[in-house]
Amino acid sequence: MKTTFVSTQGVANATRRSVMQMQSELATLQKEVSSGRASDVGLALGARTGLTVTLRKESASLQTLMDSNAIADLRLSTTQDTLVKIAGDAQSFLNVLVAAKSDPTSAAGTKQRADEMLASLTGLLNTTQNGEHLFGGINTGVKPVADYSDPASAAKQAVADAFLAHFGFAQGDPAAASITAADMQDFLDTDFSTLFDDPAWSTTWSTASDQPVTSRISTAETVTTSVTANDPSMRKLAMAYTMVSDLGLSSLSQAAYGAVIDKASALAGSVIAGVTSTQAQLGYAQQAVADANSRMSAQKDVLEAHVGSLEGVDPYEASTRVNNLLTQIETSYALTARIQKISLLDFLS
Amino acid sequence: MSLTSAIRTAQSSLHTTSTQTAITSRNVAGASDPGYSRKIAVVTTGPDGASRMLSVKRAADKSLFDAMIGATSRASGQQALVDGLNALEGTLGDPENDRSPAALIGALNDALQLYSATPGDLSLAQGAVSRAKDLARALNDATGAVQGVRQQADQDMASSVDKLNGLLKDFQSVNTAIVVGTHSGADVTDKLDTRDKLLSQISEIVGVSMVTRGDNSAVIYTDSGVTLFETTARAVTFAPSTGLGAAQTGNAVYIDGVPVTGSSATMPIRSGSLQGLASLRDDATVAYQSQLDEIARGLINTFAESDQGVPPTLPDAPGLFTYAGAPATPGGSWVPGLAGSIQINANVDPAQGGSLARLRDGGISNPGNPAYVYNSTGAAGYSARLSQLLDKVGAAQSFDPATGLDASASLGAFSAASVSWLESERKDASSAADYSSTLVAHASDALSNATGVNLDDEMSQLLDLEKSYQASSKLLAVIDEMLAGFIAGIR
Repeated sequence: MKTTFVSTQGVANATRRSVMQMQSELATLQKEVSSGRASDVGLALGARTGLTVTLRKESASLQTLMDSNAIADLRLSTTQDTLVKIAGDAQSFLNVLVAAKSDPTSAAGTKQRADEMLASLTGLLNTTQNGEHLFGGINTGVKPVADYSDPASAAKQAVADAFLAHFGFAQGDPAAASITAADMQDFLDTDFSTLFDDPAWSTTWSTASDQPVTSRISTAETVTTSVTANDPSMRKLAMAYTMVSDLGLSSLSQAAYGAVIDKASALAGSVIAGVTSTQAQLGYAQQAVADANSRMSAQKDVLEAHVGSLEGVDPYEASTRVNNLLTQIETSYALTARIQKISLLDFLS
Repeated sequence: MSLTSAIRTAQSSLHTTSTQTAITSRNVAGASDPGYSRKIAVVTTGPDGASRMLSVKRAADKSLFDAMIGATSRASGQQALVDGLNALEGTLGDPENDRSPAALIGALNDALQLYSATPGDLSLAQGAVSRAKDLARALNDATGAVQGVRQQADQDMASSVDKLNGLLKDFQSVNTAIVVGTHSGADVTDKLDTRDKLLSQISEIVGVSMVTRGDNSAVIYTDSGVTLFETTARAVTFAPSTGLGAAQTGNAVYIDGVPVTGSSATMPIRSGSLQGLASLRDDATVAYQSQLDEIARGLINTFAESDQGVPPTLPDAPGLFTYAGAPATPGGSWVPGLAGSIQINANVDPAQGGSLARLRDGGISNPGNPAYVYNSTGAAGYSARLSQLLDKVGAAQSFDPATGLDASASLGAFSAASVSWLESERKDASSAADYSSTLVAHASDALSNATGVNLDDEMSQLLDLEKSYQASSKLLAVIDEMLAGFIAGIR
């Protein structure tokens, strides 16, 4: 009769198996304690693994957007600085014109200032940053405005051609003294002005694209982050500088001289207002970038916290379990040793 | 009664005791063999009062044994599935390492975003092309891994079938010996142990149940009811496929001419490693491959270029990502094995003589055809095409419902769903395997406790036998003395 029967192998297996189980659990827990993450994230999360992969991906995308926003932001602030200088130049040019208006004898000095201003404008419009021409529109790889003082300049040639065609003689010709104020006015408003409108502007003055650079600043927002050299303000300013610089100011009659100065003053004045409004538009874009960045940064923190809570383990719980397991394993060893030691054979003589 | 009969009784007692001691020593010898069952001597007392050992029985428990082989079948089937799924999980890695196709799609998206911020910077284009290369390679590698697992499962099925046929042959010879031995009244207990051991090995390969008949002969049925053994072994046949392609279905296993695996199975087996391997080869790997193929198809279609003419007359053509079927796009439904042939277009890869700027300008599909060029002026700051690509990557597109995932999702969401699918399959299979291996442990413990040997028990029985032997010897000596006294009296 056997009420309870246990086989020798059953006893041996039971202790062996429990030790093995606890040891494999210990290995897993050790990894979790040291890394703070589940040892096998896929097994721990199952169907939610896709979520943690997505969250990690989104977090990386937000970081990339913030990195690319830094580039857009740099472009915007450099453009702002350049626009401030352009507007400053226009203002001081306006001051020079006001002084020159009452003093036709200073024509040579005024022309000198206009030359300088035109060179400065060309330099500013050709500003590059990180290899990109800021005022080139999307045509960032090419210098947008050529040097006007270069004798080979297409723009300069076009002005000369237009003057010759309208008046029958070149700029600075003694005959220029006969040009009336009305004639000059007419030339400035028609033939000369046409040089600064398309298609003449794009062929002689500027290689910039009309299309400004746009940047995607968040997953849903795209803003304009550049001003092109084809902006009306830039054309007007170039026109104002050119008429003072290159129409042979000192050879003109006082009336024609007055007409040029008046026209240039009007243009410079309107440029200052135009540049200010462009600056305001860029300011909105800068604000949008800053807003998007702070929003995305907050979003990224939330995502990372979520990833942590999905994949992480409670280190205190894990280390408590390690301690418990160690105690259990030690007990198990002691028990195994004692169970293996007892045998009826020891008591049989 | 006489002294002579007392001597006879004592003699038979000595004989019985020594035979019982022999059985005890057999039990002690078998104590560490998991397939050994305890032997019990059946002792009866004859009409003349002498004890005789009639036969040897073995401790057996049919229900515990059935529970053990059932659990073994389920555990080995699930283990085969888990092992395969673990190998597939190698295509994803830990989420922290960002090596899954889902994470690499994210990385490509980010590289494009960075490039679109400075479209004139070709080093950023190189970054995007490199990410695209990583992604294509990851999809190729994953396809290799999936097809490797499938091929391995097919080969394992072939070797399992060989092993099963071998076991059945052994089973047949042992079974015949048992039947013969039973008829002649010999001790067949050790052969019964051997037969049980063979059955438990068979149960690892295919779920079985055994019925024994009056003459101790056995009949084995699979868990689906196909006869695997009756008097003679039934043939188990399987034709392994060499170079099992993604689009190819593996062959079924036939038992006794009946298909037991695959979609054509009329009596499909429900457990055992054969079932686990077949389910891995025909279901899990095929579903995962279809998901990878759909990711590849989604990529090719997303990055395809369209005719920029107004109105467009040419069909779309594969751009950044291309495949063996270019210049046609892969269409709207699952192309088996596409993930294995996806690669980045040589026209955009400087390492293969391509130009990086085509990523921004278009014209990757056919540099000789200006119809596919988006940036007709070649402006360095042109970001409209990149922006469009970013929008398309993020937009929902339709996927083949055969994948078992959401049929309308963005590339990122679809690939993440694929990660979830695989990990959830693995989690389910793994917890089922853990559970059934615990069941196996319990069932074999219970069986061992019911039918195994306890050394201490055998030792104490040995003490009893020793006492009984001593008493019988003493009896013989005393009777001998009495007879000697009697004979001396006569003289």
